[in-house]
Amino acid sequence: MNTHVEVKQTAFDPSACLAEFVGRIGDEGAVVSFTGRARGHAKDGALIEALVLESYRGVTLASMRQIAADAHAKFPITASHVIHRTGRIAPEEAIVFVATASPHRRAAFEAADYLMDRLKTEAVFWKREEHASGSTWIEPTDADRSDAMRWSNSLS
Amino acid sequence: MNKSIDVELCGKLADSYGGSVTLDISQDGLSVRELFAAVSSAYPLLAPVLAGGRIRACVNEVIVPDDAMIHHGDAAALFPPVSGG
Repeated sequence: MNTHVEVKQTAFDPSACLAEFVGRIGDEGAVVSFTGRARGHAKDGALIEALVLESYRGVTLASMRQIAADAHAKFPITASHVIHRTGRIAPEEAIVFVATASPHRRAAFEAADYLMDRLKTEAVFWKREEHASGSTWIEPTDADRSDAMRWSNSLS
Repeated sequence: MNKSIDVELCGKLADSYGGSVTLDISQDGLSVRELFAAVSSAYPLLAPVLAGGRIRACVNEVIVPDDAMIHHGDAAALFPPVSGG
């Protein structure tokens, strides 16, 4: 399985991640990438100073590797790349980068979508938003959960 | 002779007492169920959330069931529900 899964403690450049990914695949006709960035405002409009993501030892990486393995089992993709930040993340910094490759576009799109839905609900992270009046722990939203559920009917 | 074990507290569990708490445990160790009771007794601000049924124990980087045993030297942690990425 051609996959690279990594937890990064410091800021990363999604463009460099994409270049690295493209550099290690073959002549596949489709490459899809997604970058998630830290928002500058909370749902209630409050200014967010930083997003803090906590991970736990090897458990976090293992959860990400399992999600990547499931994506490879479910879709005919040839390669994937999953990078996730941890620590204190400033607004507009990248939190997550996902890329997939396949001979044809549909599988690459769907696998990237699937990876993000699972990462958003199941990856072992705890996150909180820091703002002027304190901090708030964040849990997956109902929308995140229903997005992830879209795939469950066809999960083996 | 009793020994001590550090239990890491992840996510919002760290809000009350910081990122880890220390417990005295017997030479024979204790089960996860007993760990929850011991933490609740020694660190009462954690008792309500530990009683809520949503906290999982992680021992040596594996999420374990309530009857799993924990011994001196194990890396023990308590996980609230994950946020996802």
